[in-house]
Amino acid sequence: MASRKDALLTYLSAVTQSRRHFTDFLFKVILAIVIMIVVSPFFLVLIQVASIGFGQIFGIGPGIGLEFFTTFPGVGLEGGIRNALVGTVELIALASSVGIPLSVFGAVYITEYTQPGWTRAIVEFASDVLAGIPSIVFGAFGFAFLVDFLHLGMGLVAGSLTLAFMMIPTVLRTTQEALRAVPMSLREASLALGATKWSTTWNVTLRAAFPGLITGVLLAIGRVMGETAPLIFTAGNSLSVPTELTGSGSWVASMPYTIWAYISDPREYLQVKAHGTALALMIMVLTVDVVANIISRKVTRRLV
Amino acid sequence: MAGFEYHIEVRNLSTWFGKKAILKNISCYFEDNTITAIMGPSGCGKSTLLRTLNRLNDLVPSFRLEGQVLFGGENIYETGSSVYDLRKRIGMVFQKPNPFPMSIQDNITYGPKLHGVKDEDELSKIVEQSLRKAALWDEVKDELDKPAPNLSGGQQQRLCIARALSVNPPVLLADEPVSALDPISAAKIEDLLVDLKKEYTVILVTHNVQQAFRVSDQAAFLYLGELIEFDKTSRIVEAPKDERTEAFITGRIG
Repeated sequence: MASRKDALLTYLSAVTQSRRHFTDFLFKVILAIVIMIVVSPFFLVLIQVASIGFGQIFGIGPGIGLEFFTTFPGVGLEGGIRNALVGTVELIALASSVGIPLSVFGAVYITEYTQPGWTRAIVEFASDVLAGIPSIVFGAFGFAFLVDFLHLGMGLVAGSLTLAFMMIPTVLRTTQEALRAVPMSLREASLALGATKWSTTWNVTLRAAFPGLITGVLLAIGRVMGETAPLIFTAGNSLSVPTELTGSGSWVASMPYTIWAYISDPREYLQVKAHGTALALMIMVLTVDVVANIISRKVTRRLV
Repeated sequence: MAGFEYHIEVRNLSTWFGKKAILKNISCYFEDNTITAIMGPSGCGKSTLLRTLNRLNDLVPSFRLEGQVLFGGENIYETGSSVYDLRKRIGMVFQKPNPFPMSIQDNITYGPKLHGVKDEDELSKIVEQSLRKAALWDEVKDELDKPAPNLSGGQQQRLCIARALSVNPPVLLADEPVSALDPISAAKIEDLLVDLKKEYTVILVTHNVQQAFRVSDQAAFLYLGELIEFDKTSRIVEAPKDERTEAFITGRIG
């Protein structure tokens, strides 16, 4: 390895020889330090959460390991987080089944059925503003409108609908982008075969936009999966799973809410459980993001 | 000249996009089993003329038209005539290959399924026939389930021709179908078009005089939206009557 050492020495002597070389080298070092600072929060959070919560998920014993996910908290909250896991899955499923079709068909209408102009500008503006609204405001709105004004009460329905509202801007805009990326000539090819507008949109345009659309959907799911604020006033909480669609039987726990509730509790074992839940939630969101990434990369490769 | 003599006849056609006049008072006709080349420099309106024939310009909201386009003696722009039936009977191939993001087979069956063919045997017969007519069958017969976008550019374009033929249109429009392809693929498609005229009426837009001369029987030369000459291709190329035609043929405009 003498040659590498020589090269290093040559480099160092060049660096120290002149002021310009030195400045150049200095900035390289500074930028390297900056990027380390930039990425450190991710690793710090992961290490902190994992160092406390790891044992909850991967340990063996009552209420931890697999039991962390399969048992209910119980009276002293010493059990697992099955209520929160099932609750989050149910909330996301219901929110998606309302929010995704609305956003996708809304985007289809705006992109495929209207010309650029006022309608489109208003929808895009509204949707962009919606995307920028803090999640606690969605929570407050969900409480005032869904829980109170519409008399839905707290629970699965109000919580899911609040999350659905939050999904709309992301899914709408990414669907729009995906539809716009479909070459016009693909639509024309279908129309030139005698297809109707709807048939073309459904069988060709949406199909070609599907991977991009899925990416947006997964990103939106990943985003709302970790939201606490919209659920605080709308979903209620429960040590079990919802048994009804209305009333207190529909109150539902969720993972972010559980993290928040446990971590504000003085009992130490609940702090640990909060970190276990947080680690599980991070893994879930990360998985969703990675899947979204793989799909979008595959598309890019196919379209180029 | 009787109205039913030709598959397609254009009478005093003028078109606008918004206030911009694109075609100016054009009259021509397209005979059965011939290839007609519509040629001219970029922006002369040749693509607009082609897309007027299957009403694809209707997609542009500001499109406006005067005059008549007769197909089988009927004005295709008459209110009440079905644009879907029209497009089923007038197929189209585009400048850049645009296969659907589906399998080769699904690309071909898309059209027939739209128009109500459900029988699997009949569909697979259509797939084979269409691919044979487009001289692609031997290359893809073992990989009909593979995604069409994986084919080479030339194969994709022949697939698009097969797709257009799948609903058995008497007329085939081709909008500079080889300009995005390599010379070998281009030559294959040119040969194919010549073959196809035995069964179809082919209307070919091209800015390439040599290509028009090689494949077409009659030609229309458009310049700035006007029809300058319309006659047998050999006559136009060998003895242009108008100096603008001559300038185009000799490469001085284009």
